[in-house]
Amino acid sequence: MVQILLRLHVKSLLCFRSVCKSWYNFLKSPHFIKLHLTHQISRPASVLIVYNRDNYGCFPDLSLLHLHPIYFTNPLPLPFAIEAKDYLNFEFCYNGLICLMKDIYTSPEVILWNPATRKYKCINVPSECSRFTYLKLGYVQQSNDYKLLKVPFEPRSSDEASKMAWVYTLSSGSWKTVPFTILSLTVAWGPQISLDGCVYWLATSAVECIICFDLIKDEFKLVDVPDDRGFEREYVRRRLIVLRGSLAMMVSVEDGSRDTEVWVLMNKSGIKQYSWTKKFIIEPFSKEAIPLGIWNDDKLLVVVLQTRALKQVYTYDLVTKKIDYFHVPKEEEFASFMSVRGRYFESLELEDGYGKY
Amino acid sequence: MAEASSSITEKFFLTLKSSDGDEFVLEESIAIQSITIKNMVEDGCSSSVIPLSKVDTETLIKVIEYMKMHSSTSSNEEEIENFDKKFVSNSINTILNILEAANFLDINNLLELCAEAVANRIKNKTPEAVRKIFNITSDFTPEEEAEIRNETPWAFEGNLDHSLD
Repeated sequence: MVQILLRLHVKSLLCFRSVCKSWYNFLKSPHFIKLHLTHQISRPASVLIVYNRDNYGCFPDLSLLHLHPIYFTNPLPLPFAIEAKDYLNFEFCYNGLICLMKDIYTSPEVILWNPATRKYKCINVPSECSRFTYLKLGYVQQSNDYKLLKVPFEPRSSDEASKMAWVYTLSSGSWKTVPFTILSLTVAWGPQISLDGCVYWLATSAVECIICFDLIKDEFKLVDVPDDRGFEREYVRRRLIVLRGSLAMMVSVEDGSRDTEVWVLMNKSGIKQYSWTKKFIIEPFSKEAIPLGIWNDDKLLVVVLQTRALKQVYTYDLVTKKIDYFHVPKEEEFASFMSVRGRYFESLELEDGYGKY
Repeated sequence: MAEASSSITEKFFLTLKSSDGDEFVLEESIAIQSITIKNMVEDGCSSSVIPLSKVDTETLIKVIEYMKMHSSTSSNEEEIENFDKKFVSNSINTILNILEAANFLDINNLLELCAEAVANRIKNKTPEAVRKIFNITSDFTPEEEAEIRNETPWAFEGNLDHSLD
């Protein structure tokens, strides 16, 4: 029975809560929510796209491109009203949650929104927390909990507040500060990866490196990027993905003149002992091609954008090197296509009500 | 270069007995797609008939059909795909029986195929239809049920399917 329920859409699961009391309790249980999430992660994901229709200046529409079968969904309905002055900003999408920032200038709020269940949660950011911070979200498997991070763009020696990161724990609903002393990192960009109790993202200072936040110990660490001998740094494009349950990095060169390398972080006993192994050497990716992550198995999901339109969507099998193109429907109804914001799959996250029967 | 002697491997056969008492002879290499049967073979319990008290004849025939298709080296990907498609077009009750058997026999591919098929068939059904399909009696009072519908009224909207198959 569980095997069947795991495979259902969130809408059906919400509907089937009314079948009987034991289904209600089971479908609401953290145990099932976790099983469902684990199952969804291994399935082919959809592509989250952002575009402007008629509410330009307010908040862009978010829509999904389902790939199996392929179609664009209607814009995901925001569960709350917004105005232009709210300065709502899309941050990222993770585990079926869309993370938004509101009121960046006055009283900032983080909004965690699950479009599949239409639930959302507003989290006030403490006023002491600098707005020159970026937002990350990590999942802690052990405690089945989420942590939000506000990490300074650049710690400055003259400003004590810039040497603090703020960490919010979803289950306790409280913020705390953690020293952030990794100095002179000028840019932090690209998708965040949350894996095995850590959040990873790429940062650039004099050299490129990965910042790792240990969600259990509440500690920051640096992880070196794979050896890039032979690549001119300015031309290197790196991207973090999760491959076969491990952190992996795709390394390619800007002009597509060299093969793309896929390195996997082999992590035997914690982050202290790690090493990068080159697992795949694949064809060069064109400048417009954006690898979004693994679609399923060893298939990489790639989108190609050209003049603000979705030109191609395909999967690239890292092992067989086989490419499968999706026939993308015309998106005439989009006044202005903006960007692709990552992979999305449905989840029951934020449904922590527990059964009451 | 041809090697004359090593290519001949002896075929072993097993006898599976359904809950209705019917016996089926099956090549061991095919039958061990079932981890349950594989473990029995490895433990040396396979010399006589293997009784499958939880699987009736009709279901066992289907399961054997599936195992034969999925082990045969001659069937290609397309053939298997077509077979699977046809396989899951059986009635929902038949698939549920096969699912149960696949669970008991521990045949992961078959379990996944059937679970996916049932999920696909029930995804747009009404809670009432789901109750009938799985033989469940609602233990909610009308008030309790209304309250649950009110938690997510939109999940009950759209063209829900009342049919039982």
